[in-house]
This record gives sequence, C-alpha cells and structure tokens, in this order.
Amino acid sequence: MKQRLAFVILLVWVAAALFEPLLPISPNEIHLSAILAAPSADFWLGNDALGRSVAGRLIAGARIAFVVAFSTVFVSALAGTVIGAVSGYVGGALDHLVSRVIDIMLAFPGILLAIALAAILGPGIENLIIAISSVGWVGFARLARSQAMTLRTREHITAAIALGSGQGRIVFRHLLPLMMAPLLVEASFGLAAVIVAEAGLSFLGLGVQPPQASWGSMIREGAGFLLVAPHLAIFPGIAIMLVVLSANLLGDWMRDRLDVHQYL
Amino acid sequence: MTSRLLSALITLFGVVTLVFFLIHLIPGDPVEYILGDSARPADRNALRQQLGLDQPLLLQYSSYLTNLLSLDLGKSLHSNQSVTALLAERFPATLELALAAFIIAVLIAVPLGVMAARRRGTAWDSGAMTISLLGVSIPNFWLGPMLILLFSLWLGWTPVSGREQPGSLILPAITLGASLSAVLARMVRSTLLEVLNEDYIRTARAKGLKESSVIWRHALMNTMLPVVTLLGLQLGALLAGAVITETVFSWPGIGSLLIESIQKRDYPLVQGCVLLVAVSYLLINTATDLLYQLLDPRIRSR
Repeated sequence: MKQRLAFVILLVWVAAALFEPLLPISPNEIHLSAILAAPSADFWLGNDALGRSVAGRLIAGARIAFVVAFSTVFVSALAGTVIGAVSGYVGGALDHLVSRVIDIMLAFPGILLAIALAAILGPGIENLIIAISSVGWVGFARLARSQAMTLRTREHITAAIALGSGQGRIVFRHLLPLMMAPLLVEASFGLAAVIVAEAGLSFLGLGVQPPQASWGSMIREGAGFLLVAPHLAIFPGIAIMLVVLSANLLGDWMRDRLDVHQYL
Repeated sequence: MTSRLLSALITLFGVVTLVFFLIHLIPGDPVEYILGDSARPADRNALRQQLGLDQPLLLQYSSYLTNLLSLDLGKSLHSNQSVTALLAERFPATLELALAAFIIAVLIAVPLGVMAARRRGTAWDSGAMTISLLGVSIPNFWLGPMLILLFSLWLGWTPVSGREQPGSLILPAITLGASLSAVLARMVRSTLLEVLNEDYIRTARAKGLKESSVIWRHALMNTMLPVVTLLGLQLGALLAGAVITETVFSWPGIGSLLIESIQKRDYPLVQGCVLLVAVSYLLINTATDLLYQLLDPRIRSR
C-alpha cells in the first residue's frame, strides 16, 4: 500500500517533468500584477517575488532534479560497478590500490567533497552531475567489489574459467548479472540522495543558476520572504520530501522483494 | 590496534593529498578567476608568485606538505590574515553546534526507539517509525527555514540567526540533529528488539524485575555498542552537515566560512576549511573505531 502510493507519487512527478513543455503553466512567465501572490484559484501554489508561478517552477525544478538524479546515478553506478567488480574479481595489486582509494574517498564526508568540487567546477547542470558522481561512484564500487569477491568462488565461475573464458567475459557475463539486485536497491536509495544533494548545492548557490528553477534555489529565494510569502519556501520543500520519501520507500520495498540481505 | 592507526595515517595522507589536487584541479587559471579579466599582467604575476603558482606542481605539493606540518595553511587572499588563525576563530562555533545537535539527537532518539520497541507492532511503533522516516527525508536546508518561520517569526520564541543572543543555538542544533535522531531511533529500536529476545532478559523478567528496569538497565546497556559506533560515525558527518545548517542560520562557524570563501574565490581559505573538516571527520571516525575495540573485547581478540 505504502509502496504503491510511493510509486504513484514518483510516477506523477516524472510524468510532470517529462511533459513540462506541454503544460499550460510556464516557469518563467512574469505576472507583474500578482507578485508574491498567495495560493489562489488563478495561481494554485501562488507566485514568487518576480511574479512567476510557483507551480510552474516546481515542475521545471522537477525536470532538473530528475535529469541530474538519473544521469548521476547512471554515471556513478556504471563507473562504480565496473571498477568494483573488476577490482574484486581480479584481486592482487589492483584490488589493493582500488580499496585504498575507496577508503580515502569514504574518509571524506561526501557532501563536503561535492561542495568543494561544485565550487571549483563552477555552477551548471553538467558540473553538478560531475561533482555528485565523483562522490557517488564509491558506494557502488564498494558494493560491487564485495559482491565480486563472494561470487567469484561460485561453481559457474569455475566452470567458465575451465571453458577458457576471458576475464572480461567472466566479469561482464557471469558476475555482473548476479549483482543486479543489490545494485538496483543501491540505485534507488542513490536517487533519493542525489535529489537532496542537487537541491542542497543549488540552495548554497553552487548548482543550478537563475533564471532556471531548482527546488533548492527556490527554497533559498523563499527564505528571504518567509514572513510575507511563506508558500515560496514551503512548497519546494514538500516536493523534495515527497520524492525522497517515495524513493526511499521504493528502495526498502525492493530490498525486501528482491531478498537482498543487509550488506555493508 | 597499531595496524588501525597505521591505516588511518595512510588515509590521512590520502585525504590531505586529495584536498591539494582538488584545489589545483581548477580548470583554467585561478589568478584569472581571482582578479578578473581586466587585471594588469604585473598584478597577475605578483599574485601568481604569492600563491606559488609559478612553481612546478610537485614542488608546490611538497611545500604544501611541509607547511602543513607546521600548521601553516597560507594567507587569506582577502583579509591577508593567516588561514590557520581564521579557522581557529571559527572552529569552536562549529564544534558547539555539532555537539548540541548530537545531544539533541540522542535525547530524541533513545526514548523514541525504546518506546517503539516496547510497543512493537502497535500504533505507537508505526507512529514513531513514520516520524523517523520523515526525519530522514526532510532536508536540513528546508527544516531550518521552517523552524525559523514557526518559532522565530510566528511565535517569537527564538532568535532568527547569529550566535550572540541566548537561545540562538536551539534551532540550528535541532535542524542539524534531526536526521541523525531519525537514523538513531531506528537503530535503537532494531537492536533493542534483538536484545529483548535473549535468554538473560527472560531471566531478568522471571526473577520479577520491573519492566522498566529490564529495559533501561539490562537491555539498553547491551544495545550501546552498535549505537556508539553509529554515533561516532555520525558526529563526523554532523561537522560536514553543518556547512548547510550554518549557512541557513548565519552561524559563524567553519561551514559558513567555507561558503563565504567560495563566494569570494578565496582559495587558500577554501582549502583550509575543507582540510579541517575532512581531517576532523577522519580523526573522529578513527577514535570511534578504537573506542569500539575497547568496549567490545570480542573485537580486540580478532
């Protein structure tokens, strides 16, 4: 029940983000007569300090949030899984090096590294994706590495080696398919984490730049009008909460459903 | 134990190196960034020399390391004060905030987790777990403004921002501690449920002890181990989380210093802030690791 609701919420947001250009509300159209307007029949969620529709900006913000979240999770999952799986399977000096790098990355608070990277790379969506992926791959790498280390002694791997398969073939055809379930669970939690990270960086002014709408920058702009127009800060926060909560619930559900044991 | 310390040292070296290369990865010329396009070539060269950017990268790296040993992190480009002094000035505020957040998290999480475990499967349990799930899902850069709106602007109970007035610590501490208390409450609940199935708990009940004494004196003591570990790991994370919370409340700590120095493109100061938070994080985690071994003899013998 909870999971179904979570799924529906996510689906509605993704659909709204996908079809944003077709919707009748624009994120950048300025209504000078209705600056800071409270929610009403004309403007469902009210208007911001420039008279732009909060509802329109929320949907445009969803578009950014999902673009960043899906690309970041894709890039970090791909990079992390390949690095982790190869390192765990091959072992030896390579694995030594990779696990050292993973240790060092984990010794670095993730959000701090993302802030530093975003600050150095400069604002913009691509840089956001690079900054968050540079932190995000580590979780996938650690997971894939430990999976590869337990899976490589399985009989079908021995059989593949006996048949003369190359190492690349073994990793990609015989190891990776078996890791899909835990990686999928990690990815759905990752989605929630990236959405918070994108909003956080944009809140700090290091992410999406105006006039583009991001949930994080909407909260920052709204924080200046808390007393006169609290709706500016309230609605984007509710949007983040709904999406993050849904992604986490979905992750929980998948973990139980796919029978992935608590891995650490 | 020595091997733990050794590996912590290697990691420390890695973190220090990572910070150096992070700052030197800036695409383009940092001097250009700092002075802008209109600067005279002479000024550029002077700044380049001041920053040591005219030297080869490896030489810069080795002088960075030797300076680091004497806690010399260079000078701020804006105020020309030593970075170490600026960090020392701001660090106490961040520590104060992190510790307060930590205490608030424990005060909320332990009773909540215990209640959920004792009334497992009831509405109390699911209520507590829903609150905790919400706590994990609410970002602190939203919780902060909402608390300001409610308690400072509408009710007028607490100051809006800053550190000078009495009570100004309360809202930032709650904001920073909220997600930790959510994670912690879940952990207290699940470990307590495990411990409650043990034989010695049945013995304690069988000899007629009151339920409250069974829970608080017998069961809770044994849930401390994983809880302490989580707390230690999270204390370090609180320092990093403080970056956003401090910005929301204009709390004069390392986090807001970091964001200010990023906006001013004051790279030596950015580097100093990142280094300080990362090293404290590492030190706290290592200390937790060692504490864990002290608390649990089973791990020491391994």
